[in-house]
Amino acid sequence: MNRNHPSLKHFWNYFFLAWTLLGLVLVVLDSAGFLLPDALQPFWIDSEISPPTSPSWRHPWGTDELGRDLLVRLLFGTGYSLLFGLEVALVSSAIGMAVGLFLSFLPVPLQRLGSLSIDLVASLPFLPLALLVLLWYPGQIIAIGLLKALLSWGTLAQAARLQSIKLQSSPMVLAGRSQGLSPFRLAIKYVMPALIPTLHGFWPLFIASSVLSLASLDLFGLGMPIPYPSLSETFRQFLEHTEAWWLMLFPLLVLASLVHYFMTPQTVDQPRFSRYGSLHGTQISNP
Amino acid sequence: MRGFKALLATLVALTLYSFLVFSLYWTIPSDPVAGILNRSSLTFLHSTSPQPLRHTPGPFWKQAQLFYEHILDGTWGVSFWTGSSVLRLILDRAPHTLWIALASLFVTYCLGIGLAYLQLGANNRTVSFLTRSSIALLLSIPAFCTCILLFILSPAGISHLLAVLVYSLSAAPYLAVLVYTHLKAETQTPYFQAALAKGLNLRQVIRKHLLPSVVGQLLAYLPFWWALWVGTSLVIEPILQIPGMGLLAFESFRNQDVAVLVGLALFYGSVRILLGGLRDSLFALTHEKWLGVRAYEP
Repeated sequence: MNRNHPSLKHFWNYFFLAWTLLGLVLVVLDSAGFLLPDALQPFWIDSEISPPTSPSWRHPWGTDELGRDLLVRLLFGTGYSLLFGLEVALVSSAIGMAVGLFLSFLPVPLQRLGSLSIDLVASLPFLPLALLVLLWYPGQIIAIGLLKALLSWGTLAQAARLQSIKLQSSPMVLAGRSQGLSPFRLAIKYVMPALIPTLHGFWPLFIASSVLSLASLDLFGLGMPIPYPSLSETFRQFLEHTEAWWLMLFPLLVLASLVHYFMTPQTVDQPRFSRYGSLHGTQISNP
Repeated sequence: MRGFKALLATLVALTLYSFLVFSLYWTIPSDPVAGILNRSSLTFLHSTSPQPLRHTPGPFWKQAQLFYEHILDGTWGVSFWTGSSVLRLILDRAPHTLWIALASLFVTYCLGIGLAYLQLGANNRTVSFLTRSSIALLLSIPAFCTCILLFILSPAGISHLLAVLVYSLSAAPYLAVLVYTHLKAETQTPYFQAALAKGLNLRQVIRKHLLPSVVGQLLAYLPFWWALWVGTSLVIEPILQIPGMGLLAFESFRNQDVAVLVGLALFYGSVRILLGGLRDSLFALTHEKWLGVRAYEP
């Protein structure tokens, strides 16, 4: 099987894009008060079956232990997880970019102090603190998202700071400085647009990391407030109904696809090392 | 001298970190003790009454003084639930988590470096495809899913072994990607190309020349692995019922034991900072040696 076959790759991308968009649309419609049909409601319990039921025409991905349709709940779970990821990505990006840019225009000793502070914030562990926050705000998913965002911006801030320092010696910034522009204007007008690719690289990682963190909390019923759908609630049910394989398989497929879609291309899909191209070709003859 | 500086910076970082944790704890609205310890709900869960608590009403500086007194006297406060020292509770549980982490570190490095070596040294497309697919698959599957699957499929009584396997399988692909990226960058260096030009086999060059340069990576990511396994242990240990720090955090949450949760946050972060300091110190001490490895670079 050729992994890079265009039709296969496109089919996968389009399928998953459609899946995530459908999940987001359903969540938005449901939150906006639109009356969805019973079969599309995440809390609807099919009373005509004895749950958990295996996949059938009536419930293509089966039902959970309460008789709720797994496909619909996973669609909603994807939507909620993505909204959570977007919240974290937005807040983290805003803080990370602002702090990184601000630090890069400070004198070096202050930059070092700032860098140390960023490392300290990055050292705070998310899950123990999330448990602490959940004691005060039980079921408050926004509070958890904010905590995740407050602990996640460090790496982006460091990357933005380094990139910004590099850019400050570039001709365009030097030209702007010679025109008498203030550091703030320089940062906004010249440096920040050039940092967009850096931000673009971090967004999928923020989203994937947030989805995983939420799923970890959901595994113990601590993430999405019950009875809201989540991506990992059925794993807990699977531990009690080990014969119900669909409670493990389908959520695992969705969760792994979500992580793969957002994170793996960032890390794995690098151009393959070409023995006969780069090494035995021009690189060696022109060292 | 550089090692001493790194050590000093670590101490400063630890002090600042503990202050950060205290500030977070302090900024929680209302009186946390009154807010979380609903004594009427505690009475039927536990016979003993809650112990004297660390967080007392009073000005910020007074509470900070009390906090640091508890840290300096080695108790780290008193557990709301059991009444014993928080540090003692943590240290009782720490060996399980730490042994698993150490074993996982070894397996992770073997697996991660092996995967990177296979990916870089693959001389046919099938091996390369299989290696890349394995890395992508391992990266995509969350650790707790692997844990649940292994837990269901394996016999009872090997929970520690399962934990090592789960930790390693979750961390190895990250290491493989990092090592592969590092090795790939090294392939552009003149010494590597010179070795190839002299007729050495690609895999020989990787083994003899590139892999030694990965030693730095082994140290550089120590704090990263710690952070990764801390997050994983909080999910894995309750599933596998391993009496480590992850299970302690989970039990403390169930028992609304804020003192232990704060202590764990302090412990986890401190170890991460200490590992960072250790890395910096070792790097400073062995820098010359590593420079020597690459001394023939222009």
